Amino acid sequence: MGSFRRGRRDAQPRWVSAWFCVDAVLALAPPLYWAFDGIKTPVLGVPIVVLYFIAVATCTALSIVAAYLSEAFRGEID
Amino acid sequence: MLITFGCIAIFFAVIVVILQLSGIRDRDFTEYAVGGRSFGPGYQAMSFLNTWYPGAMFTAFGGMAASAGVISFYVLSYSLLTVVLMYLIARPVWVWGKTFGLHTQPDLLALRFNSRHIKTIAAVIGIASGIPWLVLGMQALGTLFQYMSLGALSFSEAVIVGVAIIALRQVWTVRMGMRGVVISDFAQGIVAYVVGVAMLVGLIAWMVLSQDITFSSLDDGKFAIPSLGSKEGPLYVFSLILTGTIGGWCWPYIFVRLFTADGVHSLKKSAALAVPLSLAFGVALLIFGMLGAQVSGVSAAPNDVWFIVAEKAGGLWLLGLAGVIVLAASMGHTDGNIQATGAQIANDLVGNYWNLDQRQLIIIAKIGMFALTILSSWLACLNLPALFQLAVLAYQGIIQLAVPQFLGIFWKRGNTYGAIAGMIAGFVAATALELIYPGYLPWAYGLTSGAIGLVINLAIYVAAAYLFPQSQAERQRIEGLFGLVEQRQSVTFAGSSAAIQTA
Repeated sequence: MGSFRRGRRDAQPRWVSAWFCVDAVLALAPPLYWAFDGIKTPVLGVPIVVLYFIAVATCTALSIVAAYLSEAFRGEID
Repeated sequence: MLITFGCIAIFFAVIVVILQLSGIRDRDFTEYAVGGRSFGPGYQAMSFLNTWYPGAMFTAFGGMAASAGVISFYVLSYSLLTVVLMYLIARPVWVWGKTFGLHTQPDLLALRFNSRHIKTIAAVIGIASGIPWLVLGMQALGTLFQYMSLGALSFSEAVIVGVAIIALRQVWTVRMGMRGVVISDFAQGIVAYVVGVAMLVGLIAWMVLSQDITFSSLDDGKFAIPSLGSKEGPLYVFSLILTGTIGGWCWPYIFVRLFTADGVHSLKKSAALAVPLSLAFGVALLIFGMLGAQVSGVSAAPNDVWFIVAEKAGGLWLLGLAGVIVLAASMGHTDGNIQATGAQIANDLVGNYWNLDQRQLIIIAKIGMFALTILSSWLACLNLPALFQLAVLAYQGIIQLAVPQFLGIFWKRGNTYGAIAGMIAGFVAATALELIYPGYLPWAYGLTSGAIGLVINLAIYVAAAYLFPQSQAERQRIEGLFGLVEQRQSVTFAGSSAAIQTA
């Protein structure tokens, strides 16, 4: 194999790591999903319990996009 | 029937033309097994989605949303969290893969733990666990072709037709290896998830605007999440999401996606490209399923919600399109599974004990893929009542690869003894518990058998890491591996890899 240029270390910025942790807590913490159990009060026609899952998923998706954009902007991904 | 089967035939022909035009370049095993590590972010994103979301999403999870309601959203949570995990492991896995010429997940474990036995164990677990899911995927095509035949075919006849078509498709998978899989994933993914999302949104609009179907007319049970006092237990959803998230990367055909990219940048960009589509697809499908429960005929056959609603809303043309979308998703998953398994048979089993040249590796991989296609096609045509339970069992077992895999990537401690003993103990515990308490463990607050297996596995891995410290030479080797990932300056991979492998 020939010479291969390694990029710079891509340690996550703290806010990205923190956002990833928030994703995990929002999706996994039992008290959170217990709190939404059976709540069907609609917001714009969508029950709150459904919105909870959509909000968690949206937060997770945004965190990945933001992490990529941040690293790409700083030129830290090879 | 002409319309529905015509749509399927046109789609199949288009995929074959794309594959024929893309050419075959299996010059060496790296080309055949990981597509020469040459794919950019667009291909990577679609390839991941097309392998991650099988056609059964439309039937099994669409059906779950129709019958059980909001709990089905757990699939969305873990499908996105697993991309976070991909983002985090992208660099070490790709760098080690490129540096040491890794082709499979067991290759990585063998490198990290300096053991070829762990390679065999991981490959056997991966291959054995994948077969029930491959057979289930083929059988799921029975539902598709029964609807495409407008009821003219019995279910068993429809399964045979579905198996024949998907087996025929494998001719190109065997011939072209990973390059064919990824290229076809791109086209199939656009149909399954881009066209699929558009159709889901259209069907939701049809139900809400034309049929006056809303969430408010669903019964209260459809909004329940198992919590304190529930039958399943308060930790049931936690367990499903956790094992789904980490388990995703234990499947060989998912993991190998990390080796097909042309760089870390492509992997990370593919994650950013995949998640918005994954979010849109998951939300649309699950909302569609919940609302679809109110369409007549769905409550009696919730798994058929996708076909029932499509036919009612748009007649045979939309039913044909619904079939094409499910077939596109099914093809990606089946192709990926068969390709990865063939590569593992050659690389991790046969090639682990015999010195094979590049050409021999490719031939054995092709023979393995052909044999697997024949075996799974035959099994899919049989009536196997315990198949689904076997598949669930396989899932609880394969996620035991997660402990050595993720700790091996992120933690310098840990050794081959803990990795092998932990995996085996976790696998045995998970399968035994699953057989005794199928689904969830009532005495463990709803945790699944796989989650308990992971705890045992983790405890053994960590205990062994401290009880049997690494030798000086092994510590240096591990430092070198992690140094490759962390260092900033240019390195010459040939020199580094030689030094690390011989340490």
